[in-house]
Formats: sequence, C-alpha cells, structure tokens
Amino acid sequence: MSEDIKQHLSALMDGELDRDATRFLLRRLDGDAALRATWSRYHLIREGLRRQQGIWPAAGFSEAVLARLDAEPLPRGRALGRWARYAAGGTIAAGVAVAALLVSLPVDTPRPDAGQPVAAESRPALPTDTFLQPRGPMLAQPAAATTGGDAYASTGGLDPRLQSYLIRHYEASGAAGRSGIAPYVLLVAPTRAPETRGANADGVAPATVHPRAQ
Amino acid sequence: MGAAASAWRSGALLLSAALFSTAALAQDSAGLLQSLSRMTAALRERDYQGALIYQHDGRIDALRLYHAAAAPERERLVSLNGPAREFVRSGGAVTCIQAGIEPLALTGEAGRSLLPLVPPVPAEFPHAVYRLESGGEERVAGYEARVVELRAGDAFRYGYRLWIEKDSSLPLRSALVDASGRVIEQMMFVTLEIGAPPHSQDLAPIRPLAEGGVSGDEETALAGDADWQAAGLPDGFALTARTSPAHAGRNEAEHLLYSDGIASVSVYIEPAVGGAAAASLDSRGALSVYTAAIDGHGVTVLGEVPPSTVERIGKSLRRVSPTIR
Repeated sequence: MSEDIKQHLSALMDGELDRDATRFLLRRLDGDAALRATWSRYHLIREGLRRQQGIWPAAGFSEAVLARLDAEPLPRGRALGRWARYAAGGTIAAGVAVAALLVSLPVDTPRPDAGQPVAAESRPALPTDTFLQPRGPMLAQPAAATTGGDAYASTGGLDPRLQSYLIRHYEASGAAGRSGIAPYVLLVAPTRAPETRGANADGVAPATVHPRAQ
Repeated sequence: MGAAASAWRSGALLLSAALFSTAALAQDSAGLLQSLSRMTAALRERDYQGALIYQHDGRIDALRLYHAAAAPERERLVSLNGPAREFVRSGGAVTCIQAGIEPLALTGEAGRSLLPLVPPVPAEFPHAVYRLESGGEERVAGYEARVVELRAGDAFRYGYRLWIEKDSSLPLRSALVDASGRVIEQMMFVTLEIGAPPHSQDLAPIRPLAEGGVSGDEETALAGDADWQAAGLPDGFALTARTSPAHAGRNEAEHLLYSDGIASVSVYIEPAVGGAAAASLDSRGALSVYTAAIDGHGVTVLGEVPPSTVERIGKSLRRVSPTIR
C-alpha cells in the first residue's frame, strides 16, 4: 500500500480530501479489503487517542459509502441499479451489524449455569426444515384455502395453512392494537395467491387494498 | 427506654425509605411509559430512513426502511439480502411484494409500523404482567439512546429491551428477551437519518400494483356465545376478538384472539379429517405453534410467545357449545 493512499485515507478522515480524490478512494475502498482494514485501524487509533471505545467507525464508513453510491449516476436501468446498490449497502451494513451483535452477545447470553424458566426449558430444538412444512392431512383444507404454484414448490416454502394463519393473526392483532407477527416473517417463505379469493387464471398480478382508518 | 426509642426511629426511617422508593419507582415507571408512548408517536409522526439489521431464527437480514409522516402516512421496508422482498404501507394498507409471487395485500392498522420488534403501548398498560425499568444509556447508530426494559412478569410471555433515541424518541434497537434474559430476536439500526422526508421513488413499490385483488383472508366478527373456550389462560391473557373467515360457514372455522395487552395469541379451530394427528409443539424465532386434535377438530395455537404459552392454551381448549346451528 503506497504512502499516497495512506495520506489520502488520513485526509478523508479529516474531511480534507477533494471530491474527485474522495470518489476514487471510495471506489478503491469498496474493492480492497486490506485498504478497508487500514481505514478501520485508523479509526481505532483515533478512538484510542480520544480514549473512546466503540465499534462504530465502520458504521460511519458504510454510511459514507452508501451516501456516495446514492450520488453515483446509474449506468443501467433504475430498478436494477437500485437493487444492486441495496445489495452492496446491505452487505456492508450486515457486516457491521454482525460485528456489533457479536460484541453485545456476552451481555445477552445467559450463563451456562443460569436457571432456565419452564418456558425456556420446553423450547423444542426441532430442525427448522421440518417446521412449517405441511404435516399431512390432519385438517380439512383450511377455510382460507391457498393453492400450489411452481414458485412455491421450487422453494419448498411455508405450510399454506400456517401461512394463512400467520396473515390472519397479523391482521387481527393489528386491528386489536396488539403486537403480532412481524410482517417480515410473512415473506420468509413465499406467499401464494388464495384460489378462493378470486385470483385470476391468467396470472395478472392483482392487488386489493383494504384501508382501515386513515 | 433509649433502646426502644432507637428501634422506633429505625423503624420509622425504614418505613419512610420504603415509601420513598415505592413513590420513586411509580414515578420512574410513569416516565418510562411516557417514553414508550413518545416512541410510538415518533414512529408515526417523524420522517426517517435508514438501514437496519434483523436477527431472527438464527439468521441475520439487512433491511432498509423509509418513512414519510405526511398524510397518508407512507412506509416501505426493503430486504437487502436474499430474494428481493419488500413491504409497502399506505395508511393501514400493507402490500407484500416478492419476486415471482403475486403481491399480497394485508389489512393492518393505520400507524402500525413495519419495523419489527416494536411493542404496542396500550391505553391501559398491563402492570400486572409486565414491569418497566430503566436500563441506562447507550450509543446506537451514532445516537445517544435511553434504554427501557419492558420486563415480562413470568415465563409465559417475552419482554422487550428498547434503545430509544433521546431527542426524536425513535427506537434505534430492540431485543425480544425471554424470562432468563436470553435474546430471542433483535433488530438494530446501523444508519438512521431523522427529519428528512424520503424521496417519493424510495416510497414507491419496486413493482407497480395492478387493480384487482389478491388479498389476505378477510374475517368477520362472530356474535353470540363462544363455542370454544380456553380454560387455562396464563395470567393477564383475555379474549379480545372472535372471528371467522368471511367466506366460511358458521361452525366451519373459528379464530380466537387472546391478548395480555402486549403479546397476542391466535387460536384456529377447524373441522378435522383423515384421523387425529399427534399433538405437536414447534417454535421458530419468536413464533411458537401448537397443533392438536380436540373433539373432532384440528386446533392450531400460535403467537410470538414462549412455546409453553401456546401449549398451555391449546391443551386447555374445550368445546362448550357443540350444538349445530
């Protein structure tokens, strides 16, 4: 790594690097793991000098990269570019976040000898690939029936009955002002169109919205 | 004589100390409850956008959230890794969009955030089964945060640990914890920009929504006496709704919603066919599911509660009105 690059890193940290050099350096940071490591070390050193503890320099780094990427002209179609940007940002953000969570784990993890409550003891340790799968014809087809599709089959997703239950639970608990299933969980496995709800056969994507109180 | 007076003084001192600490605790609890209320309002009334991570069921997902407060309130939650997935909310209407799958419209509640792991703050806080404690102060995503502990009073529900930004009252981090303090799920903002409304294109769904209707399963409220009852509800839980899918006949399917004010549990009862299956208890992240056959019906109990809670409720279900109408 050349001294010029190191000087540029220092200047970037001090906010004294000009726009073109900043753009160049960020591009290089994005593809150069060693350079990113150096950047993080510089921040750690600075934090140490200030007698501060923390793991957040990398968060600032990813934010800066995201901001710069947002400002970049998109060479391709907007949609593709946006997802590509998200992917890049997500990788960085997730990396930073994993580090943060690992740091916090000792606080959150119970001691091995800590007494477990009844509820914790009864938590089953079943493999997740068997969970949420159809269990056989115990029930009649649920009233909120959903039907199969190639996309669903190919990804081996959620039991359609449970999917229906989760959606109804989310809606009912929300209507009652209670905490329910996080909406994100509903898409951990693919959702299929309920046949009995008027999904059209030609595959046109319909969407009925039921606004409650605005 | 001197000893008696001294004992009396000591007793009075202890009593006043106890009264003072009780009053201080009540005041502290009221202040913390106010923090939670401000958090709920901030999620609805502030403009913000940021990137967050969500750790659940042994996996870590990166998400991006956009929120615009101007009416109608709009919000968009985008998954940054794995298959392209996103949620778009306008007022109380939520749409799930995923590549290769038709968009699914859900009916939510206006102002109900898409952000995971944010507990509701009911008008009457259930002090009997939850308690509020201060967890000090920490720094998250570059902001100073006040930590609020929403502790469960027993092992039949989960508690929350919330990191609330001091100025805006937005939640920066949240963890769902069990009675032993073990983290079940958590989310944390990595970057958060507060105050600037997102661009309109960032609030728009990645795929345009066509007219028509793939929707969630609408339900209608059931009147009259309940056919099924859970006799062994954990403390604090009560029946809050009894519904049936809109297109299902009476006696075909029933959905009971129980809540303790924060957590909620759904019970689904449907006619069983093909013989009785063994009861089962599963969990995935915060979600627990219990299934069983009772009195010729298939029963499913689920919610973001410990497995023992859905099992207890499921095992206590009894049919109280077997007559055919």
